[in-house]
Amino acid sequence: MPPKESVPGRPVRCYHCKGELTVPMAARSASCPLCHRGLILDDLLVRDSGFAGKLTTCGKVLIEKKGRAVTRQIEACQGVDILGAVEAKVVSYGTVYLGKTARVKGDFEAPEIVVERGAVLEGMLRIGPGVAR
Amino acid sequence: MDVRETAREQVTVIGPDARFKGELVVEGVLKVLGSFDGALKAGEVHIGPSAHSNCAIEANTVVVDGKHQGDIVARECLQLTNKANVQGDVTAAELAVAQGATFVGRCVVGPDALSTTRPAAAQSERLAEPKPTITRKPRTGDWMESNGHNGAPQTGDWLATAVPPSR
Repeated sequence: MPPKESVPGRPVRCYHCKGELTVPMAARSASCPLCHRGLILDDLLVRDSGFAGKLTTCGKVLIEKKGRAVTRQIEACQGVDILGAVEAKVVSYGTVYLGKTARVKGDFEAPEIVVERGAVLEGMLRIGPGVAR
Repeated sequence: MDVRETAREQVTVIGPDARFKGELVVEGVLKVLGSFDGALKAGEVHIGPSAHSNCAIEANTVVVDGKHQGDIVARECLQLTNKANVQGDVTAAELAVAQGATFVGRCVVGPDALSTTRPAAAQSERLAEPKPTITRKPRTGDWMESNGHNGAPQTGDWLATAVPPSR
């Protein structure tokens, strides 16, 4: 019997228990083996007015130029890119990028932030290597 | 050369073994390498890696490379290097944060940030949001209304106006 071929995987972090796990490359959702809760692995894209209670993913959240996300919380494990308008608490385990057209109001927790010239940012910031880990 | 221009080119340094307490106004560049308590106004401020500043800063450009505690108002640009550790409220036209910098505080950044230097007031303003227009249509066929207009007895009893079934 030929040896079982290993499926290529990618490491992700559970946004419930912050545990590390590996999922198949093409997986769009998974269940955390540590806390047994469901996970969204897709990148979330907000193209126009997006109203939701919470935008949470193990991937990235991208708010496009004409996008507008007025939500309770945005939580992304691989970072948040904002080019549009956001009014939410943002928790990111990756870099937060604010483009020049970004208009953001809310609290931030992230290890790094990039603010382009022209971006408007207002809120409480907690930025640093030890934050949101 | 104008005295002011000369002053702008000169650099005022608070050395690593110096400790300053009070208010300081500098026309040109100020480098803080020691300890600073109070408030300072300058054209450009550099907080060095060995500095311990516990003050309010108001300047065109502020570069923080060390530890700073206090509010910062940067009319042009605020730069936090990878060794920066800032705790305090920040108002700046532009913000540059290097990887590894630590910042905890309220932040107002943008080209119009200085015109709204009151963070509390700015908080209350919501993002310009297109409000949905709600138009209320008059309810036609309301039984109460029709009773009043048709001269029928206003008993409120719908049975009173019931039409007898025709054969």
